[in-house]
Amino acid sequence: MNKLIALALTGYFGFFILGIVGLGGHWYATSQPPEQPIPFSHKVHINTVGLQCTHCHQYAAEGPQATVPAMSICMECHKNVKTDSPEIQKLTRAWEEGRGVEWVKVHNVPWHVHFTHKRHVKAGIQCQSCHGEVRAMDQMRQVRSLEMGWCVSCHRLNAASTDCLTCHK
Amino acid sequence: MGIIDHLLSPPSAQNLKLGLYLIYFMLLCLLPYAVALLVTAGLSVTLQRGYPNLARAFSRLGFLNPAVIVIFGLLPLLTLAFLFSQLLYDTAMPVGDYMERIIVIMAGAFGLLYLYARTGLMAVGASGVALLGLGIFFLISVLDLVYHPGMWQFISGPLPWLFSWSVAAHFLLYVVAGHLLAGIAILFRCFRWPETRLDIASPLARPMRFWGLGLTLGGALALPAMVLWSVALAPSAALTVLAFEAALLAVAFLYVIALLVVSMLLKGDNRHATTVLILALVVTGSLLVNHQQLQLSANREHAIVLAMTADQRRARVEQEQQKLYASAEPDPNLGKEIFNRLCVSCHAWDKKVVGPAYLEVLPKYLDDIEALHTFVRDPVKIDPDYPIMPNQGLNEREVQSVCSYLLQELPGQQEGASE
Repeated sequence: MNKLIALALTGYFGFFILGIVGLGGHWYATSQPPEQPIPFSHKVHINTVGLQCTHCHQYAAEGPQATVPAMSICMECHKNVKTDSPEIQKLTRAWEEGRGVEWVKVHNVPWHVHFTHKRHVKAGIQCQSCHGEVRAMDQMRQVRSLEMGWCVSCHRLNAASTDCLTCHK
Repeated sequence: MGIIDHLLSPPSAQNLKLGLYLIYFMLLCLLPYAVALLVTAGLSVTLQRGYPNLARAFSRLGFLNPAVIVIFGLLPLLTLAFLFSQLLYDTAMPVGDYMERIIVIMAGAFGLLYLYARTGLMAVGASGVALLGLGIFFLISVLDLVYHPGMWQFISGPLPWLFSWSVAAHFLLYVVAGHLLAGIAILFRCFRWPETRLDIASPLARPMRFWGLGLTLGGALALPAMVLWSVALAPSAALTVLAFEAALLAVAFLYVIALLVVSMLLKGDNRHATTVLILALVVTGSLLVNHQQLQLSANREHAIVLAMTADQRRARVEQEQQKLYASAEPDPNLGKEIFNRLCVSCHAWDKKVVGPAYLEVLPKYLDDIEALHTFVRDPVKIDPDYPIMPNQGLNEREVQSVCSYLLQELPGQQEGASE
């Protein structure tokens, strides 16, 4: 009888331990910020250098995608700045060889969501509303869920349309 | 109300770090105490009609000793009010104001429950329990909101956040933990603590043992489900490996507690009560480590921004003090030192580097050094062919020194270039 109870308790608690391990494994596999080919610090470029978001993400106010900057924008400064850093040397090598840097996209919305940066920027939504405090990030990570409920909260707050067709074409 | 918000200024990085650890220790004092009191007082009020002796025993477990109320209830609550207000500084949410209301509610609850323990008046006890439950619920909504920075922009205070699944899961988690802690407190106080140990022949011994073991086992069995639920609802940006490890540790220790309680039930003794008490405190500590991890990770960027705000503020104050007290006489040696340390990274005299050549842009300032001061103090974009010059954060004396140095050097450099 005692053994049976101990077994039942082991099974019961084992179920929850497995549940937490499963959740942890899923989180670890899907939610880690991606490693970039060159470690780029937004914190340094925004705070120390004083760049504005649109200096590099030039199409944020003009098109659906904010876009990663052209290599020429990086080289505008890095032809001369920190040229002794091995990471900048990687960048320079790619530039000289006519290659781009294969940055890994951090913020992804599902294919069935129609999102344009332009519309949001023109409506006065700050970059940090969706991307968080990027100026404090050495490694870029996603800090907002970007799930439908979260988007709808903001649409409601700003009296934007919550009609399905606004985002799902 | 609004007293706390008036006392705050942006916290520095060290201040915030200390604050986050203090929150942990304050919660470790307050939460286990408050939830165990909620459960024992709730039981006492419920059992008062049918079992007055048992009800009296539940209200005299030591939770309502005035010193205990102050040390585990009021002092941590006051400290937490300051810490949370400072952590959520600059978020447009009146957290200080909200915490002041929580202090009033919980202090009222402690007062009513103290009165109930002295008088046994059921209406007083019931009001105390209701107020305490409300206070804990409100406090947990603040705890929860701290690790949901994505929501700060949508709500004007913790009040609308009360009706979220996340707060419900978190509140239930602590209420269930309260059952576990209340059960252990009963077992320990009635059967292990020498001064309050019940005589085996006492009519209270049997029901107290029943309630003690029942609450502990019930709490230990229900808590893992609550832990899993609250971890599943935590935002992924707030989770860390240590948060999962702390949750696992809590469930593992709950398993040991359940085994020990079943053993005591089957053998009819109470010899593991002290071990179970220690294990339950470890479980509570682990749950709070889990919470602290969520809080640290979710607030990583917010903490850096707050620290930057504090640094800017300090720099501004220093600058103002220097303007008032220090001589702003330019110092050529200081100017040269700043030039070599900062300016040469991006400028050369005779060629374009990141910024333009000095020989090209400085001559226009020869007759207007004040314009150069203004530009260096707060640079603006002038030539679209160059990126904007970053603000170097120089004080007034440094600005004047470097500008004087540049204009002093200019004629010599112009001569050198023309040769």
